[in-house]
Amino acid sequence: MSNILELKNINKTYKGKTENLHILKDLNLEVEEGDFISILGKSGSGKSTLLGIIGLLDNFDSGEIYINNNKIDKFESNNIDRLKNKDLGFVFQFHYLLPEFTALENVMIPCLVQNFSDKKSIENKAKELLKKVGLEERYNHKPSELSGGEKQRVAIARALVNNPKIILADEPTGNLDEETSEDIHNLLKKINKENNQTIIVVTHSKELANITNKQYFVKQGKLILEK
Amino acid sequence: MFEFFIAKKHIFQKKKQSLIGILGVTIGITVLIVSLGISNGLDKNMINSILSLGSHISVVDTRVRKSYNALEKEIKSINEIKGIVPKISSQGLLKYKNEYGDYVSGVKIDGFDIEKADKAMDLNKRIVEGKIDLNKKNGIYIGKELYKDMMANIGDKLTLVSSENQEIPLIITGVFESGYYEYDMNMVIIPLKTAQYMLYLDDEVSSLEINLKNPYHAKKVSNILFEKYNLFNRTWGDQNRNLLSALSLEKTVMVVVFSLIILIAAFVIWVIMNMLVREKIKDIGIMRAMGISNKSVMKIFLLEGMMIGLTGIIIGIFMSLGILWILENYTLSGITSIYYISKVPVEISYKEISVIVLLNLIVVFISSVFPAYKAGKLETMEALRHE
Repeated sequence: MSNILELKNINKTYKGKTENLHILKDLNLEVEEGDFISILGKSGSGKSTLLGIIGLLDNFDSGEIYINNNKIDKFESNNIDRLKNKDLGFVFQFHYLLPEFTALENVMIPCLVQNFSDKKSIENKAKELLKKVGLEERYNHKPSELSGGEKQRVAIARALVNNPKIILADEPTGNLDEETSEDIHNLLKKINKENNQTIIVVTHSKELANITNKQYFVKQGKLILEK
Repeated sequence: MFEFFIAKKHIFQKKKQSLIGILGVTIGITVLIVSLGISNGLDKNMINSILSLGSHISVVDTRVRKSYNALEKEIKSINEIKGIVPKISSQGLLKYKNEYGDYVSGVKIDGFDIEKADKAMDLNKRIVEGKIDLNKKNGIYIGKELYKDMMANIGDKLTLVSSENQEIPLIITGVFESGYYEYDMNMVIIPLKTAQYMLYLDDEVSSLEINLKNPYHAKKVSNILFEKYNLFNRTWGDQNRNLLSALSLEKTVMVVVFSLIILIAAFVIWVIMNMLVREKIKDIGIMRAMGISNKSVMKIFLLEGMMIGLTGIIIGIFMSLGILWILENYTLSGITSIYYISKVPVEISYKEISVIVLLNLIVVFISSVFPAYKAGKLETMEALRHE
């Protein structure tokens, strides 16, 4: 199987006022299409930073990233924006929905960026996705009118709307109660199975890590495969 | 289109801020247009009054004195000229007996060829009491203010004393109103022949007064008269240079001062846009994470500033035109007695409004482009981590 994502010798340092923090050291990772990977680690070990780098949200000092076997050039901002929009879907710990838009509009936005004229069919697609995550009654609710679990499900629907090849989730259940967390876990599992979409989650949760195919630990700036 | 969709949401979500921005621009543009409209109107009113009984070009060449008839025929061929009036100007004393006693006043005597003056200056339209009588050699036409001051009546007799101490009895035939207080209080008009007789002159005049179809062509005609006919002359602009430059200075200062209000409005927009960008830092991070380019983010905030500005401008234009319409059509009590006018005169051109709108748009653009640029420059992760 081909690698959908590959990281080679990634280094990242946070520059502080007194000392620098070398958080990722020559880190390597290969991810195959359809993988469901969890990345675990202590607080401050750099797992969220790693996810930010994979998601092309953050800069890194040296190393190479390949998505679909294409090397990413960090200066080609148009290409990066297109990849972020089309090939990567991000789910954050704190949902990060735009507060002035309804659930439906929030799901539609990543799709509207590329193709605003096709609003009607995008709307249908977004409705379908919201139905899939069990929110068909909440189309026109604003984020402030939704519960934590509902918000997170809207965020997952938003991450899915452009059919991205890779879905990145940063502690998606870190803020939710057990029952709701389980719903989200099942949802992610279902997406991975049904659509063969690659999922990488950063998590503290053993339950979530247990349903993934591979578990990595971030230790001293490197990734160690556990399972 | 996508950017507009987001910008619209932001504006409607932040109703209060947006309204303050719109209000700022509206006030700025209304103050500028209304004050410019009134100032233009007052200027025009002043110029019209000056031109009402004055001529547009005064030919005072020495050749005019004796051979004015021949000269008149010669220059009549110039296209722009509406009429030429031979005139004698002098100073004198007016004596009148009313029921309270003697009334004496120094006056400026204008001896006109009444028939020609009527044609060139529309003298007829200025007469508010009595009427023009071409056959009456001893008729005198006096200003409305003087008439009131004298407490005289049409048909009353008065005596005009010339500088040569020649006393001539005349009959009040008409009362004119020029709209210019100086003329209405201190000027009298008598027939040319009477003036020549009073001043011991033969068929002589002191000047040829030319009225044009368009008074703003005076400079051009003046040049033709000087270059082609070698006649020394002065335009109404030359004669009223002080007044005209005062008017123009006053207008310039006013425009500069009121433009400051627009600058303040621009500052309001700048502050509001900065606030909006600051409040939306996290949202900008989210949008960037979804693959919305920094150019699009910039466009969103630029559009917001422009939408606020444009709405303010449009409301401002309608509001100022409404205010000007009210001022033009309804009499304000206080102002009329001070300015010697019956209504507030108003004058504004599409060109002036367009210039104001264009300048406003530029200023609004400049004040929103910097916050928008700042928004576009934000790094995704930094923006997401912002609390």
